[in-house]
Amino acid sequence: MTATAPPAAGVAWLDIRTVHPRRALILMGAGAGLGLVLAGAALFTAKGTTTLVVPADAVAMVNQQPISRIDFDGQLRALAVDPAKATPAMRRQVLNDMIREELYVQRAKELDVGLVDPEVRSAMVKAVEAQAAADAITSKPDSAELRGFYDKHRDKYASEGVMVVRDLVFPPAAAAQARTALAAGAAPEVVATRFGGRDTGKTSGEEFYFAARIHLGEALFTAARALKTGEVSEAIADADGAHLLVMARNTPPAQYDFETARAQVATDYQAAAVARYQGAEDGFLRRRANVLVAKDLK
Amino acid sequence: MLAALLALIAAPALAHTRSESHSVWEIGRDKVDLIVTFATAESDRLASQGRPPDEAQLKAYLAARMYPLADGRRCQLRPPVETLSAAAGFQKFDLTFDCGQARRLQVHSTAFTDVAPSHLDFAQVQDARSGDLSEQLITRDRPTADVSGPGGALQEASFLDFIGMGVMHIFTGVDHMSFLLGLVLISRRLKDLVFVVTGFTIGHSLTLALAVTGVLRPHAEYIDALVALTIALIGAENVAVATGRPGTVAAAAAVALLAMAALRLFGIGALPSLLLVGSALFTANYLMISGRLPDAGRLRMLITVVFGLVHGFGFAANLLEMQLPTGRIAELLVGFNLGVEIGQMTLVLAVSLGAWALARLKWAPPRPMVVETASALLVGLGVYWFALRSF
Repeated sequence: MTATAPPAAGVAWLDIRTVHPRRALILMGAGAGLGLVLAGAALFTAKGTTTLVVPADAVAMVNQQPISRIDFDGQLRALAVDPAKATPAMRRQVLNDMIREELYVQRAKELDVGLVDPEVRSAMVKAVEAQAAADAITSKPDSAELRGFYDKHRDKYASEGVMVVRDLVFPPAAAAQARTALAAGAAPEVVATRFGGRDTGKTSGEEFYFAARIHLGEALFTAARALKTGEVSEAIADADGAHLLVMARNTPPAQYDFETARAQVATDYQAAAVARYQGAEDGFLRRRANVLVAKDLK
Repeated sequence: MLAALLALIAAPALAHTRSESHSVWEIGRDKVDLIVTFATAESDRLASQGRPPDEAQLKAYLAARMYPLADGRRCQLRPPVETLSAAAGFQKFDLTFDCGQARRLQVHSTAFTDVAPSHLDFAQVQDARSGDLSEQLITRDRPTADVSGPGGALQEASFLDFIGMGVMHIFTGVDHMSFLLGLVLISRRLKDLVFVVTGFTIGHSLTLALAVTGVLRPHAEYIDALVALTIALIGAENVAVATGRPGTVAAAAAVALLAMAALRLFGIGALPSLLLVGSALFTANYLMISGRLPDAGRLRMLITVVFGLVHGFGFAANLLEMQLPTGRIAELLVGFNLGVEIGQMTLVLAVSLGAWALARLKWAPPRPMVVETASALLVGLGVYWFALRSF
């Protein structure tokens, strides 16, 4: 009963041992007011709420999408104009262009042009790739990292080898005699005529290693690469007969030292890092995606 | 749009990653001229028994599915449908319609959506009288679009039309109507009813003006949810007052809202946690105060101002879906508000008079039964809508 009895005037407001109905009501009113303030703050600051206010870091709001002051100044600078010295007409022109661009970008989103326009799709893919590899793109590796990469991929940092080689094919029975004649210094045309052979014509004059590899095929190229200038290979059996390679000149690749190759090593190092990040991004996107493939393509 | 068309022309092979057509509707004084363009591959979709439609079949197909509407009625096609020359891989047809002197004009298309449900028609609408151009995306879900000149149909509307819109907004808005019935229910005296309806009007007039003029437009989905919350709250207040146990009702409401705030922290629900926490605090305290005060009539006026603020943003969301008439915003606001007021008063008076008449005839059920049933209905409806709009 004491708790609900009317409180004495004055001190009862501060007496927390006694229930004061008016105080309780005022506190509840304050609670309701605080609730309203919190709810209002959440509502009016939520994404999607629009106002007439242009934030300080923006020069305009286009459908509540800000055009940033930094971008605006950047556009003025791109016109070789110091933002502080730009005339009102210039500023208006640049702003109008930026507003136009924003309107078109928003319209493009509405129309979902990324779905059908290959250029937009390509730009979107590139943008995501760049974002995924941002760390690699912006990193500057130190010398130790570059040297480690160089040591691991030493064969990449060498000049391209050059060879002048002829590929002759003989009946298997005549191959040994033909080889002896060639090794003795007889002209290939003469030896070919004498032992029933022919030049395959796969190579012509001086060729880089990579070209010779393509023209000869892996097996013949490997044999040719091992020959010194003036040497003749052993007979290499193939479906069309026994091949003899006559090396007129072989200049093998020369290894670049680290300092000479440094710029290329840095580029390759970054490219490898970018590829790693993009590979991880591919994996991430595939893992979280729901990709269904038609039966005939499985 | 032109870029999209250029892309269509430049790279026809890519166009068919999405089924689409392009239409130009030229609106004249009493006729509408339609030019529709689409890739041949679109018409191939209409093939019957492996044979694509011939020209006559295509014309009949388009005439049946693409047409303007004047004041809600389909405009008459003026034959013949003409075939226009088009770039290789495309087909182009010209259709003319007689629409008379219509005040409200719409364009309608269901072409190709029957064979390609995701089909899009990029409609360009040119007003031959004013030279204005507007664009619309016509889809299966939205086959009809308003195209009545700058400012839309509202530009031509009279002040009476604005009033009519306000009246209809109340009578077709079940949530606003439910809230008003809740106010009637809680007001025992005419004086109380006048207070709450006045408070509601002050609130919604203010926010309607703020939103329509663009000064402040809160997130529309949050407002929809809050409108539902006000309905549940007015029902809960009726229960709290009738039972004399506001503490229980307040605690239940607060716990429910705080639980939703907690769920939001786990990514469940759409409303921001702070909004829910604030609502919980307000709801609990308001219900306690309202249940304790012997005469809460004037307090309710204050609170219905707050509720009115929320509903005003809700009214605005519907108005903003239409193209607002340029230079006539003040007229629209006054007319619409007046209409809302007429609608409100009509509804409140009708319900009050009905209740009074039933009481006079001694046909009225006991008040506690009415209050309990109606409150339960309001709480149920409000909670249902609130949950639906919050998740």
